[in-house]
Parts: sequence; structure tokens; C-alpha cells
Amino acid sequence: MTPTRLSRTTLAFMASASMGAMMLSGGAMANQSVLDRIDTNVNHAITGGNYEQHRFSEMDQINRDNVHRLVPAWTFSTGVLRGHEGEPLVVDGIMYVHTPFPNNVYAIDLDTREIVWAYEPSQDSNVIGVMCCDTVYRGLAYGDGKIFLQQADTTLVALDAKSGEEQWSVKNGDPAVGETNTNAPLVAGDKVVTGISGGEFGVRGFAIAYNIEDGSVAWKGYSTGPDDEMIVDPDSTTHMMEPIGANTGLDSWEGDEWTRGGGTTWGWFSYDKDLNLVYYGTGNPGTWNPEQRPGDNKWSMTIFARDLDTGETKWVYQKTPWDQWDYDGVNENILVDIEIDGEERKVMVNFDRNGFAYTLDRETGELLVAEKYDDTVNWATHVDMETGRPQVVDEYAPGVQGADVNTTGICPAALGYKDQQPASFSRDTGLFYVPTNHICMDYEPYEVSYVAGQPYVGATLSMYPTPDSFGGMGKFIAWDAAKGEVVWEQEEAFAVWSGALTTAGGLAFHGTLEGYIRARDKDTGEELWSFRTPSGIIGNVFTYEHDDKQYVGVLSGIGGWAGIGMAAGLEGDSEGLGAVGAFRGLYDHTRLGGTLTVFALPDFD
Amino acid sequence: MKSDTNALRSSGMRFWLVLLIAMVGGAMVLTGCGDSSVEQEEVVEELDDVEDAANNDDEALSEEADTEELDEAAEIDAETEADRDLYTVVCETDADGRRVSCAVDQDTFIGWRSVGSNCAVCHGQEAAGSSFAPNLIRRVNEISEEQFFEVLKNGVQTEGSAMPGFGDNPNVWPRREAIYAYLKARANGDLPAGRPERLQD
Repeated sequence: MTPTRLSRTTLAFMASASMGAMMLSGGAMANQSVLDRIDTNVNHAITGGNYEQHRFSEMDQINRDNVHRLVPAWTFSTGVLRGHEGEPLVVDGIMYVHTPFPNNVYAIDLDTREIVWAYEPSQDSNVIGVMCCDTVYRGLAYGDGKIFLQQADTTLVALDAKSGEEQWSVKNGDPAVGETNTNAPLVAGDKVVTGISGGEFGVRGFAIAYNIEDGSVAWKGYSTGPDDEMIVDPDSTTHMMEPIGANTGLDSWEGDEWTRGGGTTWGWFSYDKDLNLVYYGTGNPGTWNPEQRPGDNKWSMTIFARDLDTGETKWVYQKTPWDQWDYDGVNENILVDIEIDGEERKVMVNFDRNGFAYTLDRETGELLVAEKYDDTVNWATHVDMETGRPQVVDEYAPGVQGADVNTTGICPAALGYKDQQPASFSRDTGLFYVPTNHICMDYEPYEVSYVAGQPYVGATLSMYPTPDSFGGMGKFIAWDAAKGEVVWEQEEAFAVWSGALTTAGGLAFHGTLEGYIRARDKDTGEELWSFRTPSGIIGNVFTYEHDDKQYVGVLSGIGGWAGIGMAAGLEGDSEGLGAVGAFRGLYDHTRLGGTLTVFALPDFD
Repeated sequence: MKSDTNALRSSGMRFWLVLLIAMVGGAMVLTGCGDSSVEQEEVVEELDDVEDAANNDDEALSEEADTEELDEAAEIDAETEADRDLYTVVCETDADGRRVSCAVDQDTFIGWRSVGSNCAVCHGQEAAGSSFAPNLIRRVNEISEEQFFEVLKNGVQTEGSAMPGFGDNPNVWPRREAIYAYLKARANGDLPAGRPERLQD
């Protein structure tokens, strides 16, 4: 046993002791079976690594001094070709690997690396046609001896973690009207919380909580519509610290447009066990033609803070009122306690698609910081800290320019300066490590009719690398959320569509669309190691320990929204109208195919 | 011999290349989707065959298969000419002959817009294909107009892949001919990728 190992064990003990104390004093509701496994610092028992979604590990066996010796320890083909987002779970010596549609689950024994059980659901392939941006799936959830699988066809299944036997299953929506699922569920307390996809199909978004025990519905809160269906209270639910008032989910829409109002909930969930609040964001409002839905379109593009037990909304914050760009507000909310203006604050940090990074008090929803994390953002000059509203620049606002007008040079593009790829918070440096895009667009809205189960888009977009910049389409940056400043940035040729991992070994990991996994120095971003995996990476890097050895893994498998356009080699690249000719194809670098690659230091070390 | 071939290529071979992509692509459909690099190689091989055939008349005539290929190419040639009735494209070029802006008739413009709004979500920007749906520019020359409308109307459901039917969609079905015209203009090389302008009536 090395000294490093000893100190790590001690740390883990201290952590679980303090957690135990909090459990007693706070009457907290975090699921104990999940907490126990997070605390050991050995498992990867929850998407994001902990309830706060830090994607940080105290493990330091792999560190800045030895990372250059990292080699593949084992690999596993998922047998599925499409985009592989998310990361597997590791619970008690078993790894649970998920795949895109058809959403297979493989339980792999980490001693023998044998498949202990496999769950291969049979789903109607019609579902594929109503998934907007590839058949991605971002991961499983564990709790109370069960593995929760959220299938694309909206079926939520509880499987016995040991045997893979089905315990119960429920339907969360109807693919015939464009409702599907891509999100990883969250297990907290005695509930499993999940969302819904279909923002490009006029779906009305909601979050829903089921009781773990039997799959019965505990609560369901919509993103739009009447107050009772949203589970908001005109007097006690706040926005920017003020009561929201009555009927906000109706009056901020014209006519019945709210019924196909989007605000889908396909992103990540985080949870504060002391406040007993679940946090998540809502996506774009209905059609992409803003002329058809005048108003603020509440509460699309909004961070929700809901009580885990009742679903009651404590506060909301709308980042992009009356969206005109498809800047879905679903990105992860990372919960941290940091010092702001000399005061220790319980905050959440959100890197939104719209190019602003928000720091909010997670208890009250007070807006503390809102700054651009890429200085080429041009659709808004700044966020008004009194009202919380972005100051929109008319020149880059398709809704202001009107339908049938091609608004050009908007930064960022619809896929945002960051999409679903989650950032990491290093408890070591106190900084955020953020995988970003660097892509702008032209956007031309036009009139569209709603048909259930058909695309409800009404806009034509062209996307291209941010003009007058370094020419690449992505960056990996370190961010100070207290100051709202970029600390360092590293340029990438393609969008960094892979979730980050930081470790106490002084490392920041991420994948690239060409298929490289990189380890960077936490202080400078300098690349210390990389390895070319079999396909482009849109999955999240994760780490776990087995038999006293630290492993780092990632799913490769190009696809997702990153695989649209960017995966296509445009013929006649030298000739194109407008900016399209600048687009470069990923086909020079990679092909489809899902593989898990797990790395470790060589045994002779 | 070689220089003759090159001369032929410079005058007419660009045209041949378009046709052969269509033919080879057709064969590829039967065997499943191949990657583009493989297709490119096969195109080159086919080109060589045709060049040989064109330049060695006696040999070519003795090889029935090659003759059939040529006949087939001539038929597609006529089809391409017929396609050109579907759309109007007027382009401006720069000093190097590169097309820098193109204007299209109203229907073709609507076709471009409908592709961007309804098809690009899977088939990629400019319909150039994505990691999960084929390049429509290539596809439209691999299948007949009837087949194209059949797929657009009813969709395709196979294991691991599904194209929804748009036959009941008022944003798509009434504009099917405009969509087809746009894709054909692209496929025939008459219109480059990117946003075209509208021709003023």
C-alpha cells in the first residue's frame, strides 16, 4: 500500500464521516445507497460522479508525472454504430455500459471482464425518426440495488443491478407525437427523476418523478401552461428574487402556442441534499420561427429549482426570453460552494448554449455573475443584472429581422458555444474545465404548420467556424466562476463535444471529435498525453478504482448533433455559397462505431 | 494515348464523373452504405473502364458489358438534360471561374428552405449527409423520381434506421417537387452548396 493510497483512503473516511453528520442534522433526502458509493471514491455510481455534478475525482494514482505512461487496459465494443454520449456507471465491482438506441445495457464484472447480464430492449424503430439529432442516450442511474434505464421510446425500466431482471417499467410519453428520451435519469431520496425530449417536434416539456419502489408517479411538472400543471405558486415561486405572479406560463405566449411550446428537459439533473432541491434546465420554445410565438415564452430556456418530494418550484431563472436562436437552456447546473466578493456562497454554475456562464445562488436563485465565456458572443451585449435579461443586438436577432430574412453572422450557432457536453469542477483548483464549441450561423425563420409527430422547426440554418478567429470549431477552457473570467484556453480543430473529468492528480481530461482522448495540465491546459480511440468522442471521461488501481475510461462513437454537418464531407469544398465552403469534414478523421476504452498505468509501474 | 484521355477528360469527363457516381452509387445501395473513400476508388476504376472503351472502339465493342454501360450512361445523360427543366439557376463567377453567388427560381428556393428545415436535421447541412442519414445529393441520382416521392411520402423503416413519412405534412408534401428540383440542381452540379438567392421575376 503506497502512501498515496493511504491518504486517499483517509480522505474517503473523512468525507463519509462528514456526510454522515450532515445526514443526521439536515434530515437530507439523498439516496443513501448512492451516497455510500460516491463517498468511497472507488465507484462511479452516478452520472457526473456526485449529486453536484462535479466530474472530479480525489484519485491521484494517475497524475501529471506519470500520465504519459497511460495505456489501454481493456476495451469493449458496444455493437452499436450511432453517437455514444454519456458515461458508464461503476458500482460494487460491476460496470454498467449503456448504448444509443436500441439502448442496450451490459453489466461487466471488473474481475473477469465477462458480461454478467445484458438487457437488450425491443423498441419500435419508428422512434428513430422522431429523434432530432441522432439516437443518443446519456446514461443510466443507480439506486437501492436497481439500475434505471431510460429508453428512447420513453419507457423507464428498473432492472435488478445483480441479475438484470426487470422490476418494473413505465411509459413517460408518446413517440407518435414526437416524445422521446435521451437523458440520464437521476435517483435521489426514494425517487427517480427524468425528463422528455422533442423540442423540434412541438412537444410540451416536463420533469417527472417516479417512486423507486414501484414506478408510481410522485409528481409531474410542465415547463409551460397553467400554474398548477407547472407546479408553480404565483406568490412563493420566484424569478430574480421576486414572485413570478399568476399565469406566467400562459400569458407569455400568444394563443395556445404554449401547448406545443417546447421547453423540453433532455439535459442533466443535479441535486442539493441539504436544500432538497432538484435542478435542471428547459429547452427551446416550440417552433424555431420566433414570429409565430411572440412573448417571453415562459418557462422555456429556464433553470428550474424544484422540491424533490413535491415537485414544487422554489425558483426559476429564464436565461433566454423569446428565443430566436435555438439556445436550449438544458446544460448541466454544477453545484459548488465558492467565495464571491469575500463571502462563501452556495451557488450553481451554468455554461449556457447562448455563450454566457451564469453563477446563481442555488437557494434563492439570485443572479450573481453572467459573463461571456467566449468573447465572440454577439447576439447580446451583456446580461442586465437587475432584470436578468440579455441585452439583445437587433442585427443578430432573427425574430427582430423577421421571417424570410436571412440573418447572418450570429455567434454562437444554434448548437451553442457549449451543448450537452458537461464541464468539470476541480475541487483542487476551484476552477471549471469546460469543453466548448466555436461555431457561428446564419438563421432564416419562416412560417411553419404544426403536425403531431413531425418536425416543427420553421427555420433554415447554416453553421460555420467562428469568423475572424483561429479557424477551429472548439476550445477547452478553464473558467473562474466567481470572477466570470477565462483563465486559459486551448484551441481544437472541432467542437469539443465530450464531457470533461478533473482529478486530484492535477489533470483535466476530455475527448475530441477526431477520436483523441487528451489529458491536460490543470494549471496551463498543456497537453500531457493523448490516445487515438477507434472513433470520434462525444462521451464523457470517467474514472474508477478496482483492486487498488485507478482506471480512466471513455466511450467513443461519433454522432449526435456534432455528427450532423460536421460529419459530412461537403463535395466541392472549394466552392460554396456564403460561409458554407469553410466547413471541414470529419470524414477525414473518423468513422462510426461504439467502443469503450479503459486506460491504466502499466502493471510494471 | 494518355494525353488523348486527358483531353477527353477536360472536355467531357467532368460530366462522366457525375454520371458514374450515380451508377456506382446505385450498386452500393444493394450492398449497404459504403464509405465515401471506397466509392471514390470505384468511381476511378469505372472511369478507366469507360476511357478504355471510348479509346479502343474495337475492344470496347467486343465487350458487351462496357457497351451496355455506355448506353446506360447516355440514357442518364438524357435524364440529366430533362432534370434541367425542373429548375433555373443563374450564377455569377469570379475571375477564376468559381461561382460566388447563384440565384434560383422561387420553387427551387423553397425547396432549399424546406430541405434546411425538415431534412437537414438528419441528413445534414446542405443535405450532404450525416453520421446517421445519407447524403441526399448523391441519393437523388441513385433512385427514380417515383422512388424519391414514395420514400418521402411513406418513409423507410428498417432495423436500426428509420425515415419518417412526410405524406401528411403540410410543410413538406405540397413542396415535394420543389424539394426534388433543389436536390437535382445540386446533384447535377448546377448549384453549389450554400444559400441561393431568389431570381426576381
